[in-house]
Amino acid sequence: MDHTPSEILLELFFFLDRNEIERNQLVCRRWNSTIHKSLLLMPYRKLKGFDIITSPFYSVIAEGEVIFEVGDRESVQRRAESLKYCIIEELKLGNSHDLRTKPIQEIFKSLVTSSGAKLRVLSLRYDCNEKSDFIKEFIMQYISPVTEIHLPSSSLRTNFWKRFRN
Amino acid sequence: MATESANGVSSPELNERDVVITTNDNRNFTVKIGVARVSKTINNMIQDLGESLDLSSGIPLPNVDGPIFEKVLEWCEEHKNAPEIKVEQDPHTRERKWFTMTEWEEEYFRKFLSHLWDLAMAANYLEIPSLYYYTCQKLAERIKGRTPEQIREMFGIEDDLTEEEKAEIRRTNVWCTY
Repeated sequence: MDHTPSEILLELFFFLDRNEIERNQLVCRRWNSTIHKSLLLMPYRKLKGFDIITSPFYSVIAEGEVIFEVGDRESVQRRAESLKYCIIEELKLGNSHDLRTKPIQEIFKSLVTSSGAKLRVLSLRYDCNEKSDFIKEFIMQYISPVTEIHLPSSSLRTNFWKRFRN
Repeated sequence: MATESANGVSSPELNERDVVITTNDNRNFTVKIGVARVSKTINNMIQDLGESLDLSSGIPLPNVDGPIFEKVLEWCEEHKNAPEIKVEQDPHTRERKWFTMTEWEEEYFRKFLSHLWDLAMAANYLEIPSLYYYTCQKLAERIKGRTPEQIREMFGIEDDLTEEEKAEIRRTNVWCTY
């Protein structure tokens, strides 16, 4: 086992989910360094979504944990950083989370800066009457790659997709 | 595999001929070429040697020992006509999709459960994708759901991380549930 090439270790880790992989870092020094070197290649952790809280201060919760808040808590910062190893199943925006408002833009800017990567989102739901150009710009800036986009009106959706793909 | 040998002998004919393979403990194995070819490494050697291939003096395998090669050959015999396996991953999470194994394959791994690491290394060197990926999956299956302590015990791994290092790993992996 001591002579096992890292290649084989890596290969078997790919059959596991991210939680198992991270837990295996505790097994021994060699497993830890093998996993550590390939953290960016490993399977992503699936997060269900974000809850954006507006009162009393803006904050964002994912899986019951704060990933954004005003202030400088280290644990929150680390969670935001590790978003680069995550994929978000569904992101709902709209109404109170109007993309044009400064706090919302600040939140996304901060999350993308901390993780050093755009947010990986499987399905984006947007329930506000917003011009599609604006949403497109917002997505390009903070989200990548989006596999499904749900907008309120179907005509808008079709148009949007056409323009987004071009 | 519709490969032609360098001297133009067609595969079905060549596949029935014997070749001698010598492992690093000087054991000789007489194997049908059609079986040996499941290993891409051996297949390449056979093709490279072409006409100069002396089937009786054998092909040396400096990185595999007899007891493991014996087990590998069992796999090759069973898989000599098997199609190439397809390695797939979830397009979103990148997790590798688990293969469905036949009853024969399950039994094979039950029998050689204590040799999984050696089998993976041999399959890696011999380039036998089916044996390589399936063995890795079996190792993953053994690890899944077990605590680091249980894994160390199972594989005889030394607990060589300090408590500080473990604490740092836990701090960094903020999402991980242990």
